[in-house]
Amino acid sequence: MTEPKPSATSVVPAVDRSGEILAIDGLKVHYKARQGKHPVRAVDGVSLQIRRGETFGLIGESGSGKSTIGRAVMRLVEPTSGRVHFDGKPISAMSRRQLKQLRRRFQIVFQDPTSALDPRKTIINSLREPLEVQGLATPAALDRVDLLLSRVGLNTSFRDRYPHELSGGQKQRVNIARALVLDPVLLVLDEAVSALDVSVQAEVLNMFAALKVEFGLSVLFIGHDLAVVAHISDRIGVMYLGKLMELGPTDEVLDQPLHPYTAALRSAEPEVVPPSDRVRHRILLTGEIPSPTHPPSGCVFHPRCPYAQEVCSTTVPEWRDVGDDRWVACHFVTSVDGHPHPTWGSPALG
Amino acid sequence: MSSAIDGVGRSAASSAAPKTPLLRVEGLTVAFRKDGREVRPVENLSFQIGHHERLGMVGESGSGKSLTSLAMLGLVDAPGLHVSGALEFDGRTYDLGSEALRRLRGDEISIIFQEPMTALDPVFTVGHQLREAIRRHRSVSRGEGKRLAIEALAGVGIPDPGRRYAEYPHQLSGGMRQRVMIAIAIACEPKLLLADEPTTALDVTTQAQILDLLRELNESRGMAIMLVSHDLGVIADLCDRVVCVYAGEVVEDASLEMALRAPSHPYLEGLLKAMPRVGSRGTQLYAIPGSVPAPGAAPRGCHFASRCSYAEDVCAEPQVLLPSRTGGSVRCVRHGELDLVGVSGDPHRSPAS
Amino acid sequence: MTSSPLTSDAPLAEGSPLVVNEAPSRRQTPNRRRAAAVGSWLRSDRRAQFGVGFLVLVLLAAFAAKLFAQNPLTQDLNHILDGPSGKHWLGTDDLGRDVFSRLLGGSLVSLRASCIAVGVALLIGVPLGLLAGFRGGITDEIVMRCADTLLAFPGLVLAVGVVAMLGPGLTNAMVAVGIVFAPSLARLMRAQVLSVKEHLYVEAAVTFGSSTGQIVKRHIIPNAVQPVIVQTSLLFALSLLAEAGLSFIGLGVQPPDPSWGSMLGRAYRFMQTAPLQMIAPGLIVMITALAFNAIGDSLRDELDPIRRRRRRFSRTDASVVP
Repeated sequence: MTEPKPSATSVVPAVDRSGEILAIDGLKVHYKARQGKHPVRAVDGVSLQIRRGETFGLIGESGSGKSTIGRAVMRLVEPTSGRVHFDGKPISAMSRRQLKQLRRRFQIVFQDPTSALDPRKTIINSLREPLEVQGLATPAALDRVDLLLSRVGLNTSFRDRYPHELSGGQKQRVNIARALVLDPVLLVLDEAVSALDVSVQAEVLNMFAALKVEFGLSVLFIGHDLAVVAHISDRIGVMYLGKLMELGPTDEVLDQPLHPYTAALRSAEPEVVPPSDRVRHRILLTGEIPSPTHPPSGCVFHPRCPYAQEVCSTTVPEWRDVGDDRWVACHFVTSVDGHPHPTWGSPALG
Repeated sequence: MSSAIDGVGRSAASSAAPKTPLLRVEGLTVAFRKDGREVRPVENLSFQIGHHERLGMVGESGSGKSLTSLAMLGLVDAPGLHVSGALEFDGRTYDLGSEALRRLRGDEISIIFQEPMTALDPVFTVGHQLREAIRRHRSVSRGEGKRLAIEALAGVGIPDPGRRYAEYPHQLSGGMRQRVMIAIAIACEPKLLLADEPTTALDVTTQAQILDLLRELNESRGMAIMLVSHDLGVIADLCDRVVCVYAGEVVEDASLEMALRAPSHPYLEGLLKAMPRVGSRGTQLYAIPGSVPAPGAAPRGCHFASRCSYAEDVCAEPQVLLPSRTGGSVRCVRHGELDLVGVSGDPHRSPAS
Repeated sequence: MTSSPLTSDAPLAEGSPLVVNEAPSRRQTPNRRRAAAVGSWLRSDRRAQFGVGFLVLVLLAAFAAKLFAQNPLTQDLNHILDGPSGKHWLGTDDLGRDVFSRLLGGSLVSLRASCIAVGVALLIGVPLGLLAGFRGGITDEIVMRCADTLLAFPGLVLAVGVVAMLGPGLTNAMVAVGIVFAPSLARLMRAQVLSVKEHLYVEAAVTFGSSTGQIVKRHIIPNAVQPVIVQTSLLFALSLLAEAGLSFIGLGVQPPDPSWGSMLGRAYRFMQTAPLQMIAPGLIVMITALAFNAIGDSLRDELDPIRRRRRRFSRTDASVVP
């Protein structure tokens, strides 16, 4: 993991795929709670890098802070501490005016396709808005909007319609097109397919994969559905209660989870497999996710962890590089090759 | 946990003759008039649930699955909406919308919904609501009712039930609320629990807990479960038989094993192929072309024909439910000639690749 | 431009001059498009036709009356409280003045009065409500506590107080009424803004670099203003009545000038003997109030794309192409 390169001046990532497009460093986002004096620790010390051209999946349950990270990257929330660098430039420290130009380079698609579109604007007006705001509404750019609309699978008859005349899947396509209008290099997809039916979801996922190549995008894919996140991501990070538990290449993390929470999440995921073929053993977690206003001491996962020891409740585990491009925050993992303990979630332990 | 349940529960051995189903729905149709013509979001839909069975009804939004579950219990009552069909429960026939059917609900059949917050009364403690549910069914004193209620809370896996008894719905998490709903639903010791998207609002680890609880209740009490969901994963996790609904019709009815391993209807095959799974990374998912038709807008023959990659001229004819090769039934005239691909345990053989 | 609600019907908003290869209908200037939108609104909605038609009729009649009708101030003490006749269509009042010409003469006074009141209420209430709802926090607290304080006063007493401060006269009285109306508009606007700003399209606008001003103009105001329009139409009706009330107690229009309110006030004394004296101004106040409400309802629907489409294309399905 290298530090982000401040030298990168070009915003087109097509050639240089080595560095990071996004670097999040010790990010904390604490909200003032509605009631009570303890802040909500939505994100509590997260560091991760997104490499050029990759899709990074961030997975977690509700209250894990995964969406807050996406919002902090978009600078929709101000970090309490820590830094976010986009293409070497400190997003978190820039003024609004400085940021305006840079915003063309990173865009977001939200979960709720209906709420993300102004009900009083026609589709074409919604799509042109980013260009108008950025002062880029040249005839050529406006022509490109029509191309984008057809690229996301909507013909020109949709131009003058209003959002309520579209289905959920169609609305989400409009949102995707709008996110691409400014020609970004980083796309944050915040639960962007969670509200869609399975067959529509498949289309949109396929479209993301194609658009990523076509537009040379790097993607931060935030989701709660392990199968969906795993399907699209090159690397994934697993979050729990505002902290990263584990991070690494998708297949390795899911095939051999190093953190007990990853293993539990993997085993809780409903499997669409004929019953007679099932081998997996479910690790049933007890209890529920604690409140982020009062996170547990030590390792935040320890009250629900089937393998917790005394040290887990007293000492916060270090966020460690364990080799093979993998990181984990657990006291009982030393390295991937060192076989510190039996693999979590094997039938023997479950 | 199971011992606590046995305290309130009854023996599961009271099963009827194995041949007669617990519940049989015959020719259920929901119709309304729109722009001068009749639209049928649910049309001539029939299925049955055996004693102790766990049935999953799967379909995308707009398929009519939720409407089916409400209409069959006489819970759809809007002006202009016409519900017809027959319901047979435990050997007795009921008119939809009859008083007898209303009594059946909340006695032999209980229902839980997706969002327990809307089903629980916010101004009463959960204990009060559960106790009254118990007392409606059994003539016990308040004190005894409270004891049974706390026992029932423990029975659905709520820790510290004595304290939770005195709490209000908003003080509980989503998973806890759903557990309370389940406790209330089973307080009358129903023979059938209808669960409409019971875990959709919950996190995956909580969902796993609720599904395990439902399975345990089914096994320990012999209570049949009908799970209605858009999520094949949830259904695969809990159920042993699947009814797949499309455009208001049953398109396939099969055991879970066969539905997943060897689907007979192209729509079910499409759903299975469209699901991303661990191991499908980097592959193109199958996307069923088009979208679920609005009620009344489906093609006249096979409702799925316009989206089906196997459709031929014969599919323009109205389709009937036929016996399938896998021991269930299927609404596809070509099912005998098609060799559809299901899923299996080995990810390398998954159809997505 | 987008903030102007009437243009939302037109397929193009800003930047239209840049678009060259558009269909002819889309190449219109903003003013012509706006006119076309108003035209299609008036053609398609009966409520709008009734409301606008009635108000135009009243205004035309008022101007015509200035030229042709009898002088509304001329007294004829030989014919007081007369019934309708060929000379006096609606009879005469207690000083023998022609009721019909007073009604027409008073219409300008009354309509102007309600415009002042509603204008003042809008100018004070809407910006403050917008500010409170959008900024939140301490700004919200201050604005809303002031509004609550104003609301806690009985409206008429407050108006009397304001008139006492500014001096009597119709304009001052209606400014006072406007101040009384302002808090309710502020509350309404604030509530709307609070719900609109929760929508993701507001956040989306931030992510492509919109300034706060742009967000307020493009998204917040157009989406929040709908119920305010309906409320405004109600306030027009209410202010007609308020004018009547204030003139009745002598704080509004000063005798001998006619206004609907002052006519009602005078006629009230002869309710038993000459009921027509009350019915004529009462009816016209009522119909005018209905006309304002009709315009308000119709405008609300016109500005909402969902309702508009439903009304215009009610025969067909929404026809979403897959």
